[in-house]
Amino acid sequence: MTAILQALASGLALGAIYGLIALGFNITYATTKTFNFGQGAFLVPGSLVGVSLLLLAAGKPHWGNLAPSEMTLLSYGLATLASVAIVGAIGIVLYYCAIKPFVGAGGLNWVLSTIGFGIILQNAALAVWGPASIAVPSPLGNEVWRIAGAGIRPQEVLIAAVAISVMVGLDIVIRKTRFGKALRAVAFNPQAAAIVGINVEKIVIIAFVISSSLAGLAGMLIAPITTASVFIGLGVALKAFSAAIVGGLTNPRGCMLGGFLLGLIEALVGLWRAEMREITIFLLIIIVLVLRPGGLLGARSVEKI
Amino acid sequence: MSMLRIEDLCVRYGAIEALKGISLHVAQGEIVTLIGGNGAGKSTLMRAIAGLVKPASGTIAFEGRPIAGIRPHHCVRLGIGHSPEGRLVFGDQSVRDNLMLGAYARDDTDAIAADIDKYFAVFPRLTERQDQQAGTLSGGEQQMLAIARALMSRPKLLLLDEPSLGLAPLIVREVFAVIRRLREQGVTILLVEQMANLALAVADRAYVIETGRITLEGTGAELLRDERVRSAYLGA
Repeated sequence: MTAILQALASGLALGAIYGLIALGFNITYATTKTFNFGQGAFLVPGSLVGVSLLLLAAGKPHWGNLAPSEMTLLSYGLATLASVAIVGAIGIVLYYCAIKPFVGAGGLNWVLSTIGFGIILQNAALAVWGPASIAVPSPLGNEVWRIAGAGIRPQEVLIAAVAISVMVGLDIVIRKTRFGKALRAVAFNPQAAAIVGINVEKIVIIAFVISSSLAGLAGMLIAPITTASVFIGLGVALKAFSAAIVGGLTNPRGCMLGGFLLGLIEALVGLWRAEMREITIFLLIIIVLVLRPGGLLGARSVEKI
Repeated sequence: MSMLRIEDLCVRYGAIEALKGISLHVAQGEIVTLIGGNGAGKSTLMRAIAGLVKPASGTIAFEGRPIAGIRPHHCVRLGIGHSPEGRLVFGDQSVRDNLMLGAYARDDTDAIAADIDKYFAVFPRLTERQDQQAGTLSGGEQQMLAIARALMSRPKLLLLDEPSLGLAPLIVREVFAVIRRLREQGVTILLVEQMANLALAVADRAYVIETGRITLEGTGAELLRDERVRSAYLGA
Protein backbone atom coordinates (compact mmCIF):
# COMPACT_ATOMS: atom_id res chain seq x y z
CA MET A 1 0.00 0.00 0.00
CA THR A 2 2.72 2.45 0.99
CA ALA A 3 4.63 1.39 -2.08
CA ILE A 4 1.64 2.25 -4.25
CA LEU A 5 1.31 5.63 -2.57
CA GLN A 6 4.99 6.27 -3.22
CA ALA A 7 4.61 5.25 -6.84
CA LEU A 8 1.58 7.50 -7.22
CA ALA A 9 3.58 10.47 -5.95
CA SER A 10 6.46 9.72 -8.32
CA GLY A 11 4.05 9.12 -11.19
CA LEU A 12 2.26 12.39 -10.54
CA ALA A 13 5.53 14.32 -10.53
CA LEU A 14 6.84 12.58 -13.63
CA GLY A 15 3.45 13.01 -15.32
CA ALA A 16 3.47 16.71 -14.52
CA ILE A 17 6.83 17.03 -16.28
CA TYR A 18 5.53 15.15 -19.32
CA GLY A 19 2.38 17.27 -19.26
CA LEU A 20 4.37 20.54 -19.23
CA ILE A 21 6.45 19.55 -22.23
CA ALA A 22 3.44 18.07 -24.05
CA LEU A 23 1.58 21.35 -23.56
CA GLY A 24 4.49 23.04 -25.30
CA PHE A 25 4.08 20.69 -28.27
CA ASN A 26 0.37 21.55 -28.38
CA ILE A 27 0.83 25.32 -28.37
CA THR A 28 3.15 25.44 -31.37
CA TYR A 29 1.37 22.65 -33.23
CA ALA A 30 -1.96 24.41 -32.90
CA THR A 31 -0.59 27.65 -34.34
CA THR A 32 1.83 26.39 -36.99
CA LYS A 33 1.23 22.63 -37.45
CA THR A 34 4.86 22.24 -36.44
CA PHE A 35 6.63 21.62 -33.16
CA ASN A 36 10.13 21.25 -31.88
CA PHE A 37 11.30 17.68 -32.43
CA GLY A 38 14.49 18.65 -30.62
CA GLN A 39 12.55 19.73 -27.53
CA GLY A 40 14.54 17.31 -25.35
CA ALA A 41 17.67 19.38 -25.90
CA PHE A 42 15.88 22.41 -24.44
CA LEU A 43 15.75 20.71 -21.03
CA VAL A 44 19.55 20.75 -21.04
CA PRO A 45 20.15 24.52 -20.82
CA GLY A 46 17.01 24.63 -18.67
CA SER A 47 18.76 22.72 -15.94
CA LEU A 48 22.43 23.55 -16.56
CA VAL A 49 22.03 27.33 -16.84
CA GLY A 50 20.01 27.42 -13.62
CA VAL A 51 22.46 25.21 -11.74
CA SER A 52 25.45 27.20 -12.99
CA LEU A 53 23.82 30.43 -11.85
CA LEU A 54 23.40 28.91 -8.38
CA LEU A 55 27.04 27.74 -8.40
CA LEU A 56 28.31 31.16 -9.49
CA ALA A 57 26.19 32.79 -6.80
CA ALA A 58 27.87 30.48 -4.27
CA GLY A 59 31.28 31.69 -5.48
CA LYS A 60 32.13 28.47 -7.33
CA PRO A 61 33.01 27.89 -11.00
CA HIS A 62 30.04 27.22 -13.28
CA TRP A 63 30.68 23.48 -13.19
CA GLY A 64 30.80 21.51 -9.96
CA ASN A 65 28.55 19.91 -7.41
CA LEU A 66 26.07 22.01 -5.56
CA ALA A 67 25.76 21.54 -1.80
CA PRO A 68 22.31 21.74 -0.19
CA SER A 69 23.52 24.64 1.99
CA GLU A 70 24.35 26.66 -1.12
CA MET A 71 20.72 26.92 -2.21
CA THR A 72 17.48 28.22 -0.75
CA LEU A 73 13.97 27.93 -2.12
CA LEU A 74 14.24 31.58 -3.14
CA SER A 75 17.56 31.25 -4.96
CA TYR A 76 16.33 28.09 -6.69
CA GLY A 77 13.20 29.98 -7.71
CA LEU A 78 15.18 32.91 -9.09
CA ALA A 79 17.59 30.62 -10.94
CA THR A 80 14.58 28.81 -12.42
CA LEU A 81 13.06 32.07 -13.64
CA ALA A 82 16.37 33.11 -15.23
CA SER A 83 16.72 29.73 -16.86
CA VAL A 84 13.15 29.79 -18.17
CA ALA A 85 13.75 33.26 -19.64
CA ILE A 86 16.98 32.19 -21.35
CA VAL A 87 15.48 29.02 -22.82
CA GLY A 88 12.45 31.07 -23.91
CA ALA A 89 14.81 33.39 -25.77
CA ILE A 90 16.43 30.35 -27.43
CA GLY A 91 12.88 29.57 -28.62
CA ILE A 92 12.94 32.80 -30.66
CA VAL A 93 16.21 31.72 -32.30
CA LEU A 94 14.66 28.30 -32.95
CA TYR A 95 11.70 29.94 -34.69
CA TYR A 96 13.81 32.05 -37.02
CA CYS A 97 16.38 29.33 -37.82
CA ALA A 98 14.37 26.11 -37.91
CA ILE A 99 10.68 26.95 -38.31
CA LYS A 100 10.18 30.16 -40.27
CA PRO A 101 12.08 29.06 -43.40
CA PHE A 102 9.94 25.90 -43.68
CA VAL A 103 6.54 26.61 -42.16
CA GLY A 104 3.63 26.51 -44.59
CA ALA A 105 5.85 25.13 -47.34
CA GLY A 106 4.61 21.58 -46.82
CA GLY A 107 6.99 18.68 -46.47
CA LEU A 108 8.90 17.57 -43.43
CA ASN A 109 11.92 19.87 -43.56
CA TRP A 110 10.92 21.39 -40.23
CA VAL A 111 11.24 17.97 -38.60
CA LEU A 112 14.90 17.70 -39.55
CA SER A 113 15.62 21.37 -38.92
CA THR A 114 14.26 21.22 -35.36
CA ILE A 115 16.07 17.95 -34.62
CA GLY A 116 19.23 19.56 -36.02
CA PHE A 117 18.77 22.68 -33.91
CA GLY A 118 18.40 20.48 -30.82
CA ILE A 119 21.59 18.57 -31.63
CA ILE A 120 23.48 21.83 -32.10
CA LEU A 121 22.13 23.10 -28.78
CA GLN A 122 23.03 19.88 -26.99
CA ASN A 123 26.57 19.88 -28.38
CA ALA A 124 27.04 23.54 -27.54
CA ALA A 125 26.07 22.60 -23.97
CA LEU A 126 28.53 19.71 -24.12
CA ALA A 127 31.30 22.19 -25.01
CA VAL A 128 30.40 24.43 -22.06
CA TRP A 129 29.58 21.87 -19.36
CA GLY A 130 31.20 18.62 -20.49
CA PRO A 131 29.61 15.17 -20.37
CA ALA A 132 29.57 14.53 -16.60
CA SER A 133 26.42 15.12 -14.61
CA ILE A 134 25.99 17.58 -11.78
CA ALA A 135 24.21 16.44 -8.62
CA VAL A 136 21.57 18.98 -7.67
CA PRO A 137 19.93 19.01 -4.24
CA SER A 138 16.24 19.78 -3.89
CA PRO A 139 15.53 23.24 -2.49
CA LEU A 140 13.10 21.53 -0.10
CA GLY A 141 15.89 19.24 1.16
CA ASN A 142 16.73 15.68 0.23
CA GLU A 143 15.22 14.20 3.38
CA VAL A 144 12.31 11.92 2.46
CA TRP A 145 8.95 13.05 3.83
CA ARG A 146 6.81 10.43 5.58
CA ILE A 147 3.20 10.80 4.53
CA ALA A 148 0.80 8.03 5.67
CA GLY A 149 3.76 5.71 6.02
CA ALA A 150 4.95 6.32 2.45
CA GLY A 151 8.30 7.96 1.76
CA ILE A 152 7.83 10.85 -0.63
CA ARG A 153 10.63 12.93 -2.05
CA PRO A 154 10.07 16.64 -1.44
CA GLN A 155 11.19 17.51 -4.97
CA GLU A 156 8.33 15.40 -6.31
CA VAL A 157 5.89 17.51 -4.34
CA LEU A 158 7.56 20.69 -5.61
CA ILE A 159 7.45 19.45 -9.24
CA ALA A 160 3.78 18.56 -9.02
CA ALA A 161 2.87 21.86 -7.31
CA VAL A 162 4.78 24.09 -9.73
CA ALA A 163 3.89 22.17 -12.89
CA ILE A 164 0.19 21.90 -12.04
CA SER A 165 0.04 25.63 -11.18
CA VAL A 166 1.70 26.52 -14.48
CA MET A 167 -0.65 24.22 -16.42
CA VAL A 168 -3.78 25.59 -14.72
CA GLY A 169 -2.50 29.12 -15.30
CA LEU A 170 -1.83 28.51 -18.98
CA ASP A 171 -5.20 26.83 -19.40
CA ILE A 172 -6.89 29.95 -18.04
CA VAL A 173 -4.76 32.21 -20.25
CA ILE A 174 -5.64 30.19 -23.36
CA ARG A 175 -9.38 30.17 -22.62
CA LYS A 176 -10.01 33.58 -21.08
CA THR A 177 -7.51 36.23 -22.09
CA ARG A 178 -7.27 38.39 -25.18
CA PHE A 179 -3.94 36.76 -26.00
CA GLY A 180 -5.44 33.29 -25.53
CA LYS A 181 -8.33 34.06 -27.84
CA ALA A 182 -5.94 35.44 -30.45
CA LEU A 183 -3.81 32.30 -30.10
CA ARG A 184 -6.87 30.12 -30.68
CA ALA A 185 -7.91 32.30 -33.61
CA VAL A 186 -4.50 31.73 -35.23
CA ALA A 187 -4.82 28.02 -34.47
CA PHE A 188 -8.27 27.93 -36.09
CA ASN A 189 -7.25 29.75 -39.26
CA PRO A 190 -4.20 32.02 -39.60
CA GLN A 191 -5.68 34.03 -42.50
CA ALA A 192 -8.91 34.68 -40.64
CA ALA A 193 -6.83 35.80 -37.67
CA ALA A 194 -4.76 38.12 -39.86
CA ILE A 195 -7.79 39.89 -41.35
CA VAL A 196 -9.17 40.84 -37.94
CA GLY A 197 -5.87 42.55 -37.22
CA ILE A 198 -3.91 39.89 -35.35
CA ASN A 199 -0.18 39.90 -36.05
CA VAL A 200 0.03 36.18 -36.72
CA GLU A 201 3.81 35.93 -36.71
CA LYS A 202 4.00 37.64 -33.32
CA ILE A 203 1.55 35.13 -31.84
CA VAL A 204 3.53 32.25 -33.37
CA ILE A 205 6.80 33.54 -31.92
CA ILE A 206 5.19 33.84 -28.48
CA ALA A 207 3.94 30.26 -28.88
CA PHE A 208 7.51 29.07 -29.48
CA VAL A 209 8.77 31.10 -26.53
CA ILE A 210 6.13 29.51 -24.27
CA SER A 211 6.87 26.05 -25.61
CA SER A 212 10.62 26.43 -25.08
CA SER A 213 10.16 28.00 -21.65
CA LEU A 214 8.07 25.03 -20.57
CA ALA A 215 10.89 22.67 -21.58
CA GLY A 216 13.38 24.87 -19.71
CA LEU A 217 11.18 24.79 -16.62
CA ALA A 218 10.88 21.02 -16.88
CA GLY A 219 14.67 20.73 -17.04
CA MET A 220 15.17 22.79 -13.89
CA LEU A 221 12.38 20.98 -12.01
CA ILE A 222 13.63 17.53 -12.85
CA ALA A 223 17.35 18.21 -12.22
CA PRO A 224 17.24 17.38 -8.47
CA ILE A 225 15.80 13.96 -9.38
CA THR A 226 17.80 13.02 -12.46
CA THR A 227 20.88 15.26 -11.90
CA ALA A 228 21.69 17.98 -14.41
CA SER A 229 23.52 16.86 -17.53
CA VAL A 230 23.70 17.20 -21.26
CA PHE A 231 21.88 13.88 -21.64
CA ILE A 232 18.75 14.34 -19.50
CA GLY A 233 16.35 15.54 -22.16
CA LEU A 234 15.88 12.97 -24.87
CA GLY A 235 14.03 10.21 -22.99
CA VAL A 236 11.80 12.67 -21.18
CA ALA A 237 10.89 14.53 -24.36
CA LEU A 238 10.08 11.27 -26.16
CA LYS A 239 7.64 10.36 -23.37
CA ALA A 240 6.18 13.89 -23.46
CA PHE A 241 5.72 13.56 -27.21
CA SER A 242 3.94 10.25 -26.68
CA ALA A 243 1.80 11.91 -24.02
CA ALA A 244 0.78 14.65 -26.45
CA ILE A 245 -0.16 12.14 -29.15
CA VAL A 246 -2.09 9.89 -26.75
CA GLY A 247 -3.92 12.79 -25.11
CA GLY A 248 -4.57 14.59 -28.40
CA LEU A 249 -1.96 16.93 -29.89
CA THR A 250 -4.66 19.45 -30.83
CA ASN A 251 -6.10 19.73 -27.33
CA PRO A 252 -4.12 21.42 -24.51
CA ARG A 253 -6.05 19.58 -21.83
CA GLY A 254 -5.57 16.33 -23.70
CA CYS A 255 -1.79 16.88 -23.67
CA MET A 256 -1.77 17.47 -19.92
CA LEU A 257 -4.00 14.43 -19.34
CA GLY A 258 -1.71 12.31 -21.53
CA GLY A 259 1.28 13.45 -19.45
CA PHE A 260 -0.26 12.41 -16.14
CA LEU A 261 -1.52 9.15 -17.60
CA LEU A 262 1.93 8.18 -18.88
CA GLY A 263 3.68 9.24 -15.68
CA LEU A 264 1.30 7.25 -13.47
CA ILE A 265 1.36 4.14 -15.65
CA GLU A 266 5.15 4.28 -15.79
CA ALA A 267 5.47 4.55 -12.01
CA LEU A 268 2.83 1.93 -11.17
CA VAL A 269 4.02 -0.65 -13.70
CA GLY A 270 7.60 0.02 -12.62
CA LEU A 271 6.55 -1.03 -9.13
CA TRP A 272 5.60 -4.41 -10.48
CA ARG A 273 8.34 -5.12 -13.01
CA ALA A 274 10.66 -2.38 -14.16
CA GLU A 275 11.30 -4.00 -17.55
CA MET A 276 7.56 -4.06 -18.29
CA ARG A 277 7.33 -0.27 -17.97
CA GLU A 278 8.14 0.80 -21.51
CA ILE A 279 6.48 -2.27 -23.01
CA THR A 280 3.20 -1.50 -21.24
CA ILE A 281 3.30 2.20 -22.09
CA PHE A 282 3.94 1.80 -25.77
CA LEU A 283 1.46 -1.07 -26.12
CA LEU A 284 -1.18 1.12 -24.50
CA ILE A 285 -0.28 4.00 -26.80
CA ILE A 286 -0.80 1.81 -29.84
CA ILE A 287 -4.14 0.52 -28.53
CA VAL A 288 -5.36 4.06 -27.76
CA LEU A 289 -4.35 5.30 -31.20
CA VAL A 290 -6.09 2.43 -32.95
CA LEU A 291 -9.31 3.13 -31.06
CA ARG A 292 -9.06 6.92 -31.11
CA PRO A 293 -6.73 8.08 -33.88
CA GLY A 294 -6.89 11.73 -32.76
CA GLY A 295 -5.89 10.87 -29.19
CA LEU A 296 -8.09 10.70 -26.10
CA LEU A 297 -9.26 14.32 -26.26
CA GLY A 298 -8.33 14.99 -29.88
CA ALA A 299 -10.29 17.86 -31.39
CA ARG A 300 -13.52 17.11 -33.20
CA SER A 301 -14.15 19.71 -35.84
CA VAL A 302 -17.36 21.68 -35.41
CA GLU A 303 -16.74 23.79 -38.49
CA LYS A 304 -19.69 24.06 -40.86
CA ILE A 305 -19.10 24.33 -44.54
CA MET B 1 -10.02 61.75 -54.01
CA SER B 2 -10.66 58.06 -54.27
CA MET B 3 -10.64 56.09 -51.07
CA LEU B 4 -9.18 53.11 -52.93
CA ARG B 5 -7.27 53.37 -56.20
CA ILE B 6 -5.75 50.37 -57.90
CA GLU B 7 -3.49 50.75 -60.92
CA ASP B 8 -2.32 47.99 -63.23
CA LEU B 9 -2.34 45.32 -60.51
CA CYS B 10 -0.86 41.93 -61.34
CA VAL B 11 -0.94 38.90 -59.04
CA ARG B 12 0.70 35.57 -59.80
CA TYR B 13 0.32 32.19 -58.15
CA GLY B 14 3.46 30.46 -59.35
CA ALA B 15 3.19 30.34 -63.12
CA ILE B 16 -0.50 31.28 -63.14
CA GLU B 17 -1.37 34.92 -63.69
CA ALA B 18 -4.49 35.50 -61.63
CA LEU B 19 -4.72 39.27 -62.18
CA LYS B 20 -3.33 40.76 -65.39
CA GLY B 21 -3.30 44.50 -64.88
CA ILE B 22 -6.41 45.53 -62.98
CA SER B 23 -7.23 49.22 -62.51
CA LEU B 24 -10.22 50.41 -60.52
CA HIS B 25 -11.22 52.95 -57.90
CA VAL B 26 -13.74 53.26 -55.11
CA ALA B 27 -14.85 56.67 -53.83
CA GLN B 28 -15.86 57.49 -50.28
CA GLY B 29 -19.41 56.32 -49.52
CA GLU B 30 -19.79 54.25 -52.70
CA ILE B 31 -20.85 50.66 -53.09
CA VAL B 32 -18.81 49.20 -55.92
CA THR B 33 -19.35 45.65 -57.06
CA LEU B 34 -17.17 43.26 -58.99
CA ILE B 35 -18.98 40.64 -61.01
CA GLY B 36 -17.48 37.81 -62.95
CA GLY B 37 -17.40 34.04 -63.25
CA ASN B 38 -15.61 31.48 -61.17
CA GLY B 39 -11.84 31.92 -61.27
CA ALA B 40 -12.07 35.36 -62.88
CA GLY B 41 -9.85 36.77 -60.12
CA LYS B 42 -12.43 38.50 -57.92
CA SER B 43 -11.35 36.95 -54.65
CA THR B 44 -7.68 37.32 -55.53
CA LEU B 45 -8.25 41.04 -55.94
CA MET B 46 -9.95 41.23 -52.54
CA ARG B 47 -7.13 39.23 -50.95
CA ALA B 48 -4.54 41.54 -52.48
CA ILE B 49 -6.31 44.61 -51.07
CA ALA B 50 -6.51 42.96 -47.63
CA GLY B 51 -2.79 42.10 -47.71
CA LEU B 52 -3.26 38.34 -47.90
CA VAL B 53 -1.47 37.99 -51.24
CA LYS B 54 1.49 40.02 -52.48
CA PRO B 55 1.03 41.61 -55.88
CA ALA B 56 3.70 40.92 -58.50
CA SER B 57 3.39 44.49 -59.80
CA GLY B 58 1.10 47.49 -59.84
CA THR B 59 -0.09 49.77 -57.05
CA ILE B 60 -2.86 49.80 -54.47
CA ALA B 61 -3.43 53.16 -52.80
CA PHE B 62 -5.72 53.51 -49.81
CA GLU B 63 -6.51 57.12 -48.92
CA GLY B 64 -3.54 58.09 -51.07
CA ARG B 65 -1.12 55.79 -49.22
CA PRO B 66 0.50 52.89 -51.09
CA ILE B 67 -0.45 49.62 -49.37
CA ALA B 68 0.46 46.91 -51.90
CA GLY B 69 2.38 44.15 -50.14
CA ILE B 70 1.89 45.32 -46.55
CA ARG B 71 0.81 42.69 -44.05
CA PRO B 72 -2.89 42.10 -43.37
CA HIS B 73 -2.93 43.24 -39.74
CA HIS B 74 -1.58 46.61 -40.90
CA CYS B 75 -4.36 46.87 -43.51
CA VAL B 76 -6.92 46.44 -40.72
CA ARG B 77 -5.30 49.23 -38.73
CA LEU B 78 -5.45 51.55 -41.74
CA GLY B 79 -9.20 50.96 -42.00
CA ILE B 80 -9.82 48.02 -44.31
CA GLY B 81 -12.31 45.45 -43.00
CA HIS B 82 -12.59 42.09 -44.74
CA SER B 83 -15.50 39.66 -44.68
CA PRO B 84 -13.80 36.83 -46.60
CA GLU B 85 -15.12 34.25 -49.01
CA GLY B 86 -16.18 31.19 -47.03
CA ARG B 87 -16.81 33.43 -43.99
CA LEU B 88 -13.98 31.96 -41.88
CA VAL B 89 -15.60 32.69 -38.53
CA PHE B 90 -13.67 31.30 -35.55
CA GLY B 91 -15.75 28.14 -35.17
CA ASP B 92 -14.43 27.08 -31.78
CA GLN B 93 -15.09 30.43 -30.10
CA SER B 94 -18.33 32.06 -29.03
CA VAL B 95 -20.22 34.53 -31.20
CA ARG B 96 -19.39 37.28 -28.71
CA ASP B 97 -15.67 36.39 -28.74
CA ASN B 98 -15.70 36.44 -32.54
CA LEU B 99 -16.94 40.03 -32.38
CA MET B 100 -14.37 40.88 -29.71
CA LEU B 101 -11.65 39.49 -31.97
CA GLY B 102 -13.04 41.64 -34.79
CA ALA B 103 -12.01 44.62 -32.69
CA TYR B 104 -8.52 43.20 -32.04
CA ALA B 105 -6.82 46.22 -33.61
CA ARG B 106 -8.71 48.63 -31.32
CA ASP B 107 -8.06 49.42 -27.68
CA ASP B 108 -11.08 51.59 -26.80
CA THR B 109 -12.73 48.97 -24.54
CA ASP B 110 -15.93 50.92 -23.81
CA ALA B 111 -16.60 51.73 -27.44
CA ILE B 112 -15.96 48.10 -28.37
CA ALA B 113 -18.64 46.96 -25.92
CA ALA B 114 -21.01 49.58 -27.36
CA ASP B 115 -20.29 48.39 -30.91
CA ILE B 116 -21.03 44.79 -29.95
CA ASP B 117 -24.42 45.90 -28.64
CA LYS B 118 -24.94 47.90 -31.82
CA TYR B 119 -24.35 44.90 -34.08
CA PHE B 120 -26.45 42.68 -31.85
CA ALA B 121 -29.24 45.17 -32.57
CA VAL B 122 -28.55 44.99 -36.31
CA PHE B 123 -28.35 41.17 -36.24
CA PRO B 124 -30.86 39.98 -33.61
CA ARG B 125 -30.14 36.33 -34.45
CA LEU B 126 -26.57 36.81 -33.23
CA THR B 127 -27.84 38.16 -29.91
CA GLU B 128 -29.77 34.98 -29.26
CA ARG B 129 -26.68 32.93 -30.00
CA GLN B 130 -23.99 35.11 -28.47
CA ASP B 131 -22.65 32.39 -26.14
CA GLN B 132 -22.85 29.63 -28.74
CA GLN B 133 -19.76 28.44 -30.59
CA ALA B 134 -19.69 30.14 -34.00
CA GLY B 135 -19.20 26.76 -35.70
CA THR B 136 -22.68 25.68 -34.60
CA LEU B 137 -24.40 28.60 -36.39
CA SER B 138 -26.24 28.14 -39.68
CA GLY B 139 -24.59 29.37 -42.86
CA GLY B 140 -26.65 32.55 -42.92
CA GLU B 141 -25.88 33.30 -39.29
CA GLN B 142 -22.18 32.72 -39.92
CA GLN B 143 -22.36 35.18 -42.83
CA MET B 144 -23.98 37.80 -40.58
CA LEU B 145 -21.26 37.14 -38.00
CA ALA B 146 -18.48 37.48 -40.60
CA ILE B 147 -19.89 40.85 -41.70
CA ALA B 148 -20.36 42.05 -38.12
CA ARG B 149 -16.87 40.87 -37.21
CA ALA B 150 -15.39 42.87 -40.10
CA LEU B 151 -17.39 45.93 -39.05
CA MET B 152 -16.07 45.65 -35.49
CA SER B 153 -12.74 47.08 -36.66
CA ARG B 154 -14.68 50.25 -37.66
CA PRO B 155 -13.42 50.02 -41.24
CA LYS B 156 -13.51 52.94 -43.64
CA LEU B 157 -13.70 50.40 -46.45
CA LEU B 158 -15.50 47.07 -46.14
CA LEU B 159 -14.49 44.23 -48.45
CA LEU B 160 -17.44 41.87 -48.81
CA ASP B 161 -16.47 38.67 -50.58
CA GLU B 162 -19.33 36.46 -51.83
CA PRO B 163 -21.76 37.15 -48.98
CA SER B 164 -24.51 35.09 -50.66
CA LEU B 165 -22.39 31.99 -51.22
CA GLY B 166 -24.21 28.82 -50.18
CA LEU B 167 -27.18 30.63 -48.64
CA ALA B 168 -30.87 30.00 -49.18
CA PRO B 169 -32.63 32.69 -51.29
CA LEU B 170 -34.52 34.06 -48.29
CA ILE B 171 -31.27 34.49 -46.33
CA VAL B 172 -29.59 36.10 -49.35
CA ARG B 173 -32.33 38.73 -49.34
CA GLU B 174 -31.62 39.37 -45.67
CA VAL B 175 -27.90 39.79 -46.34
CA PHE B 176 -28.59 42.33 -49.09
CA ALA B 177 -30.96 44.22 -46.77
CA VAL B 178 -28.01 44.52 -44.40
CA ILE B 179 -25.78 45.82 -47.20
CA ARG B 180 -28.38 48.50 -48.03
CA ARG B 181 -28.53 49.50 -44.37
CA LEU B 182 -24.73 49.78 -44.23
CA ARG B 183 -24.84 52.08 -47.26
CA GLU B 184 -27.32 54.33 -45.46
CA GLN B 185 -24.79 54.53 -42.61
CA GLY B 186 -22.15 55.71 -45.10
CA VAL B 187 -19.92 52.61 -45.09
CA THR B 188 -17.87 52.34 -48.27
CA ILE B 189 -18.16 48.85 -49.70
CA LEU B 190 -16.38 46.81 -52.33
CA LEU B 191 -18.64 43.84 -53.02
CA VAL B 192 -17.73 40.66 -54.85
CA GLU B 193 -20.77 38.64 -55.80
CA GLN B 194 -21.89 35.80 -58.03
CA MET B 195 -25.52 36.92 -57.84
CA ALA B 196 -24.94 39.66 -60.38
CA ASN B 197 -28.53 40.95 -60.53
CA LEU B 198 -28.68 41.55 -56.77
CA ALA B 199 -25.20 43.06 -56.68
CA LEU B 200 -25.84 45.44 -59.59
CA ALA B 201 -29.14 46.54 -58.06
CA VAL B 202 -27.45 47.59 -54.85
CA ALA B 203 -24.25 49.02 -56.36
CA ASP B 204 -23.48 52.60 -57.38
CA ARG B 205 -20.88 51.40 -59.84
CA ALA B 206 -19.70 48.04 -61.08
CA TYR B 207 -16.81 46.35 -62.86
CA VAL B 208 -16.96 43.13 -64.84
CA ILE B 209 -13.84 41.02 -64.41
CA GLU B 210 -12.94 38.18 -66.79
CA THR B 211 -9.82 36.00 -66.54
CA GLY B 212 -7.89 38.58 -64.59
CA ARG B 213 -8.89 41.68 -66.58
CA ILE B 214 -11.56 44.35 -66.24
CA THR B 215 -13.68 44.09 -69.38
CA LEU B 216 -16.52 46.46 -68.61
CA GLU B 217 -17.40 49.19 -66.16
CA GLY B 218 -20.33 51.49 -65.50
CA THR B 219 -23.06 52.32 -63.04
CA GLY B 220 -25.05 49.46 -61.58
CA ALA B 221 -28.08 50.47 -63.63
CA GLU B 222 -26.07 50.66 -66.87
CA LEU B 223 -24.62 47.20 -66.47
CA LEU B 224 -28.02 45.76 -65.54
CA ARG B 225 -29.21 46.90 -69.01
CA ASP B 226 -26.03 45.92 -70.85
CA GLU B 227 -26.64 43.10 -73.34
CA ARG B 228 -23.28 41.39 -72.75
CA VAL B 229 -23.80 41.43 -68.98
CA ARG B 230 -27.38 40.22 -69.34
CA SER B 231 -26.41 37.23 -71.44
CA ALA B 232 -23.25 36.28 -69.53
CA TYR B 233 -24.22 36.94 -65.90
CA LEU B 234 -27.93 37.52 -65.60
CA GLY B 235 -29.08 34.49 -67.57
CA ALA B 236 -31.25 36.64 -69.86
